[in-house]
Amino acid sequence: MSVLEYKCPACGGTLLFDSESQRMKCPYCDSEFDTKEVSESESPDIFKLESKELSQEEKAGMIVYGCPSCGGEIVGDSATAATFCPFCGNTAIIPQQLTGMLRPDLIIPFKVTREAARDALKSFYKGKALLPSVFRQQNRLESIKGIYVPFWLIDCEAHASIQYKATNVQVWSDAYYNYAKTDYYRLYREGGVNFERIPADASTKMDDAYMESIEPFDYKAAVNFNTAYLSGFFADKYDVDSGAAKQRSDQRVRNSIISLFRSTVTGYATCESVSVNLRLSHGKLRYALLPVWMLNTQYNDKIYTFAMNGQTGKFTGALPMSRGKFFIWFFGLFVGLGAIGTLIAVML
Amino acid sequence: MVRLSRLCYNGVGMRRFILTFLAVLSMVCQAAYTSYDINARVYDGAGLLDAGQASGLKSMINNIIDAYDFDVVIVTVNSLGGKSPEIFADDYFDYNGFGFGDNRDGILFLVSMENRDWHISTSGRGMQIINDARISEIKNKVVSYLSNGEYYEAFSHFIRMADSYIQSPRPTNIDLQKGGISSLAIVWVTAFVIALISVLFMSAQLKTARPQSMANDYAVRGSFHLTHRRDMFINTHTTRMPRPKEDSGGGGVHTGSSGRSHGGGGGKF
Repeated sequence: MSVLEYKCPACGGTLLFDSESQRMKCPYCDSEFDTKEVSESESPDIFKLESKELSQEEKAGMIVYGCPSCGGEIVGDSATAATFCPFCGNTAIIPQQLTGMLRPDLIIPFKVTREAARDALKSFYKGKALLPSVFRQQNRLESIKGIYVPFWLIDCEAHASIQYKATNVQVWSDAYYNYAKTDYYRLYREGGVNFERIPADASTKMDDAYMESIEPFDYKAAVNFNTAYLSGFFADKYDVDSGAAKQRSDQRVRNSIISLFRSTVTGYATCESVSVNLRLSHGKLRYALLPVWMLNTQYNDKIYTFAMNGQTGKFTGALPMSRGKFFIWFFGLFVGLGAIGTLIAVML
Repeated sequence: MVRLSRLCYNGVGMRRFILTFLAVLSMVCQAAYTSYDINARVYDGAGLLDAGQASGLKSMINNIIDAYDFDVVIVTVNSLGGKSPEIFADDYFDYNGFGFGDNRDGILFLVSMENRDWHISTSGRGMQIINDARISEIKNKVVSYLSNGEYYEAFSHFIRMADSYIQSPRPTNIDLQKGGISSLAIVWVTAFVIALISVLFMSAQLKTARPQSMANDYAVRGSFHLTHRRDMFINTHTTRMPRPKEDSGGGGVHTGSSGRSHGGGGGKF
């Protein structure tokens, strides 16, 4: 097992991928290189250490590497593909996690900087009336990590035939009676639609809801995979197999095609589907690493997690709610609106 | 001066001047001391009251007019002559010159035996004092008497209620609670629902991490196609429901044929 570093040809420091210039940059001497120019410097004397004291189960999920820069122990789990040495802080890429079947087909490099992610968190607090007042001051930014998250990109052809029953209602009245005329219809729609590169989170560590709410990624900026992009970031390999990922994407495809078909039914007062027949066939499957900033803040001994699309900057998260503010707003609005309404009622 | 002296020396001119002066004086006095015909205030065209009952009502009305300069009129008829109860009541009030003051303050209670209609028409100050909530209070009290044929009781209760309303001219909350409980309840329930929806919306904004249910972003543009599309008419069905009988109508402010506006309300008994 070997760990990978990109050495600066000028000074020997460890090169990092720079999201702004989209090039490899040396943090020590500021030299810049294209991702294709740099060559991997693999230390020949890399060894995989196994800890004796750990239980069998713990060992199964944990792999220990030697740092090529300082020789310190880097502990990763079975999915770690890029991380940092806890002793010297140098980036460490584990190429074995990204070769053969595990080699990603494509990667979208980071576009958004760490500072932008930090600012986005601050602006995420804005306009949130129910956020506890002390949260802004008291919460500490625990960590901010750029992670290349493994995704399955799934191509899917969907075919559907759906039957609906629909009605139209006309009402009128004469001097003595009210009339309601209901026309009944039977509708049939058959057709298909193709989906391309639906992303499905392939990492068990990442929350699917977070990963889906920072979609979409712009695949036009995707490039062929090169380990150089991982330098300076964390990366995981997939640990959700493509079959499980397809189940999730198929559900989304089903909902989509049903709503697309429903939108072709117009001009009726009511419409409900009677029978739905769906046939999905999967096309190409791609394995991709997509850039995500993960931010953790601590408030009242609780960790709050936020995620940001490392390409588009789309930000998502979950903030705590102040119960006090909730009730103040509720009663304020209730009494205020009620008083205005009563005043108007009395005046009328 | 010359003209006036010429008028004064002319005997005919002098007499005309005095006559004109007296006429103007008597008009001014009439305006200050409104004389009215109390007998016209209770017109029992349908013959629902005996003479003693009619004079009892007249004296109750007389007290109100004297105390508040507020007109109260009771009308019973056998036929509305093709008019709606509302229009008949408004016209009867306007064209008989009821109401006191510039705004013709007053209230009229009409009972028509033709289709068993009752209607209350308010005018001037009466429109503010006896609002919709109070009309429905009067209705709750009076209509059952009308239905039972106890017309004198109905009219005397009406006059007493009108009297108490004039004494507390601004409809209070208590009146609203009695008569307009439903409208106030609607206001507060609506306020509750809006407040609840607003705070739930605000709390939902705190959490934006939500799964996506659709894959529409990834549909290949132009790939959506329908190979079959059929809309078949199966059958039709028409239902017929008798129109509900109008129970109560004519609320709110409206303008009669004389151009004066009235409030009030009415219904069947």
